[in-house]
Amino acid sequence: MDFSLTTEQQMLSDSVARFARGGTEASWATMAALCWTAIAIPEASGGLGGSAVEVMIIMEGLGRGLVAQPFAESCVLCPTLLTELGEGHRPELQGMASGTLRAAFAGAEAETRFDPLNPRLRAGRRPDGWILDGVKSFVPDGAAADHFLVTARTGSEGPSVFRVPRDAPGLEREDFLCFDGHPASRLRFTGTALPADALLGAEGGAGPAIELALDRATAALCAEALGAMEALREATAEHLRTRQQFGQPLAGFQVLQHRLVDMFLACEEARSMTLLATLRLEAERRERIRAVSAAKARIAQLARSVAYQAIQLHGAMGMCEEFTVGRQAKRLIAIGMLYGDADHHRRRFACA
Amino acid sequence: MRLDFTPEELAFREEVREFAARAAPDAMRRKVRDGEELTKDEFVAWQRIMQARGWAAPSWPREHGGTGWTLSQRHIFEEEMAAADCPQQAHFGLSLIGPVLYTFGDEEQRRRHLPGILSGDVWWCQGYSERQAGSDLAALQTHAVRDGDDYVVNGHKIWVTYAHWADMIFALVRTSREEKRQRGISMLLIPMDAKGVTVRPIETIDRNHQINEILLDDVRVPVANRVGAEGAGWGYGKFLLARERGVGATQRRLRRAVERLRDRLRRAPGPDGRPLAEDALFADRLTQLEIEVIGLEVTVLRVLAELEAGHEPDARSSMLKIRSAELLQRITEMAVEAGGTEAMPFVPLDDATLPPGAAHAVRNYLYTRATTIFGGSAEIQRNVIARQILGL
Repeated sequence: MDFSLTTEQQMLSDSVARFARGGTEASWATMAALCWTAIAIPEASGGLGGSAVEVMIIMEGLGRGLVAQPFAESCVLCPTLLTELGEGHRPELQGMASGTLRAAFAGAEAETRFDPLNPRLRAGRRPDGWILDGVKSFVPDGAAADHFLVTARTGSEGPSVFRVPRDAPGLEREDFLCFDGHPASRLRFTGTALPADALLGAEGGAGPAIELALDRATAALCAEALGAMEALREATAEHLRTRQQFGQPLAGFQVLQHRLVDMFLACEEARSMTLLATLRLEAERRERIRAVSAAKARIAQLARSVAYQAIQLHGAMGMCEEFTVGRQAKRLIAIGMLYGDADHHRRRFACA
Repeated sequence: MRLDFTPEELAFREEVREFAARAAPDAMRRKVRDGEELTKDEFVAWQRIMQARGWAAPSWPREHGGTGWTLSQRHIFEEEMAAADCPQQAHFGLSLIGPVLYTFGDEEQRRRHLPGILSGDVWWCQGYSERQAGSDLAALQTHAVRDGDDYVVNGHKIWVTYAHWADMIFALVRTSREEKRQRGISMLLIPMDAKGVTVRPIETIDRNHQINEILLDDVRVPVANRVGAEGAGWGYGKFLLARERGVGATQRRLRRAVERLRDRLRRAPGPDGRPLAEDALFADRLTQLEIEVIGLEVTVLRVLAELEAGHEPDARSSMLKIRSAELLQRITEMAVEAGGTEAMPFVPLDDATLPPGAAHAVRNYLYTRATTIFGGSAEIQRNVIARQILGL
């Protein structure tokens, strides 16, 4: 049992903290220059071959600083999908490692809710490749992506994954901002013709790779939530210490102290769950699923409660878009819904 | 980072598991499984079994007759004993006064009292709370006045668990009035058969007699029975409360409690003639509970790892106390809900009989309402965290 960081990991953590102080201005180029984009990619594919702990450290820092960059998607989820599908040799991975090429995962559909393994989007065979038809309703950071990794069903059982360039003919993209300020896109495929090698891995055989990639991304999001929760807890404590009402600091009121203690308890539990998810990503499938889904289910609840408390204890200031508190709270609520909400993951945990 | 035990620790787990599988007599094991209270004789018999194995005091250092185990070993030990439905060892001597004596007591006190704790021959109880001194423990009024080589003690103690079984009580008493109330408090070891000690039973809402009131009327206690320095009792009391709140056996027993609850749901009839375990609403609540227990388990491991790395214990033990108490309350609550009205019959009248074990669920449910009150209430724990960790 050891939860301490190595010297290198501590340096990474400090470096992320410095970077994240730049807030929303913190740029992708800097992350690439610091080689973070390469951290979760295996060495054989041009990455640094780091562990889930490094990903956790980065994500916690990004969450703390409310940095809106698609690290979990482009640097964790998509590379995992490619390597697990046996496409680790693809040049795209080198581009993703260096940060010059960005990918987005197109999995979610309005009809299938949080089930990533039974896409409705249809991939039909044509003589020299494939034709895609259907809609992907929610693609995080789709606008910035050079290509999409799209889940689809073919004639065979089980999902398949296709690589689709952003300028593919018959692909329409609509971009929007979500309530947490993060960009996302809707993709409409209408007879989108793709070459044969657009299929990644075996036809119908992408299920395990999708599951693992999403589990890694989900664990990363747990760490982001943890960072944001800690930041909100600290900001709220500071507010209670400085804000004077009825002739004394708010921190003098026991009823408010106990609220803050409950935020602390939530943060500590979230840290335990994040560690569990992170350190069980390499375990066998059932154990991994139970760890990740337990973590995501619980963190979705805890994150929301911390978000609500932070707004409440900041009073009207918590409602202002101008202040970080409200935006941080919105990101936490959004994370709770990404890649499966609390109900979805409780069900997945129970059925695993 | 590593969320796994070492190969040596896993080998130790096997050793404990092997012992745990056959250590407890079947009747005792069944009682633990059904959540039934052990008798004093059973507690003593269990302590003898543990002593015969050389594991009388899992948390004590070797030089005082303990196992000298690391925190991880103790953790593994507790987990395996819980998994095999072995009883917990009575904790007033082993977990509370024993460590105070080998840490702060004199040689004579150790020689006299530690062997009886290890063998289970001497039963201890804890005299802290008074009617006007509950959460505000420093308000305690029981006083000890020096008279030659004795103290003369007058006052009362309340909520004293198993006082009616006890041979000895360790009590916090006021030996002087100081401006800072905490300064005038000393810890005395008082034989329960001393003249002037009266024990009165208190019946609790689970219709059980476990706690008592103790009246102390001109009780003469030799000065040699004072632990450490006069006026230093508050510090020992805090040392002891930290142990009571800290990483303890309860947290390791939650997982087994959830498993037992799941078994119960498989047998309990639910809607549409199917077991309650297959009712989506009920099953989901159990899943929620299970996930929260996992969260607490990882938190325990984190605290453990920090203590093993040499960090001082801090107010995070309060966090463990808050969470384990809440979870235990919810587990016992669900066990009663699983029974529905079948869980309600409690006291048979006339010639009636209850199915064996029928009342245990309710009794445990009612009893565990106390877990957020004893050993420092949930509110006091929050005060401690607010002050010591959050700096409010």
